[in-house]
Amino acid sequence: MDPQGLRDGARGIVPLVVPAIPFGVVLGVAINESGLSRLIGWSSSWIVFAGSAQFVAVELLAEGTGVFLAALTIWIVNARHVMYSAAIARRFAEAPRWWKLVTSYVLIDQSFALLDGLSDENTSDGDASDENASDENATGHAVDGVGDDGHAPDDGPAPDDGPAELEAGPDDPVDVDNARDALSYRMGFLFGSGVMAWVLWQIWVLLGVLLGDVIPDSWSLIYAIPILFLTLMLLAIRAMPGNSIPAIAAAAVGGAVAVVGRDMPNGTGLLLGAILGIMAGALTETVLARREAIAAP
Amino acid sequence: MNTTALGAFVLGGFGTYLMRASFLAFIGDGLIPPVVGRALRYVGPAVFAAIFLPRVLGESGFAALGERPTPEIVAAVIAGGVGWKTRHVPLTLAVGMVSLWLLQWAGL
Repeated sequence: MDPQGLRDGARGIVPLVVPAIPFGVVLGVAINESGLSRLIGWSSSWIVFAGSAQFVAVELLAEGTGVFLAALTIWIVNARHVMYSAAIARRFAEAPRWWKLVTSYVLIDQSFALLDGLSDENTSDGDASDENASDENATGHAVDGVGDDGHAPDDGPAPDDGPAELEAGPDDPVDVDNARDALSYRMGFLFGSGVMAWVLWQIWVLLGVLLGDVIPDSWSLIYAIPILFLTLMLLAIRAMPGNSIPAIAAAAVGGAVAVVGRDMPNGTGLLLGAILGIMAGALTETVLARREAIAAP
Repeated sequence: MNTTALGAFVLGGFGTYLMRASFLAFIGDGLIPPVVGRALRYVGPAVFAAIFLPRVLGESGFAALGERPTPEIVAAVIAGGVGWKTRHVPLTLAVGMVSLWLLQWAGL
């Protein structure tokens, strides 16, 4: 892993996890009030490492939900990670297995979003022409403006860096080195951002667990949770590419079912709301797409 | 309760890990089946709405809408407007909480 990539990733993720401070602290307060042992409650942070799922699980467990239903809820809330995993897999196809196994653990919304904004034009599957490579060298600093010192992963290998004894054509070693460097940088970047987010998250939640005793109930701090999820919902709807109607349908059905089913045992109202909401979104998308297909000549 | 919780975290965390690792470490470069992809896109809106709405409306559920709005509902509406407009999470949170405190303090 490229150390510069590690540094850039770790530094780049910080502004993205700042919004997680109130979330982590409030989650800590919720753990404190849940009746779970603090250590066990906090352990969700390093075992599950996903705020929304941790929050829901802590609350369900406090109400006496069993192992399987609580775990199932965690899975559904976290299902979005499959999307992230699929979206980035191609860019790390050549990475070593241990790296993939370790980094998977710290793959979160924010590190995905950060990586998504990172250029990887020079990662093409070895077919980058020399022309392309030199173009990259010229513009790399601007394109890759993540680190504030303007490091670009690909500004190292000059043509004479290539091992001279290689029998391949003179262009090939350059391209291979270039791609390897870029991969190494990206590996460092994703890993560094994930680890940094992990460490900060443990601190925020622990802070909340400890502060929970000090903060008076009259502050209604626990109400920050619904406000936070309201905001996350709005962001999720607004982040939809194209039509946002299916996402609005998903939210409307999900919310309404959860309200109607609020007294269902073991938090199954939430689970049912999530499932029906997801189905409503997918169904609306299908219907709209079909209608559009019919309308189109 | 603590043993149950630890079991749920381990089981839930293991599944979460498998989902994070699914394509990155195991399947590799592949495509999510369209049906699954379509469903995954709506996990966020559906789950977040299912979490926040019952909490905002409170014990009486939708019946709360027919009565005088509680400070929680008014604060959520204000915060929702700010969140939609600014997409700024800490700001939205601050506006929501300050509105709630003001409304409670004013005894509305």
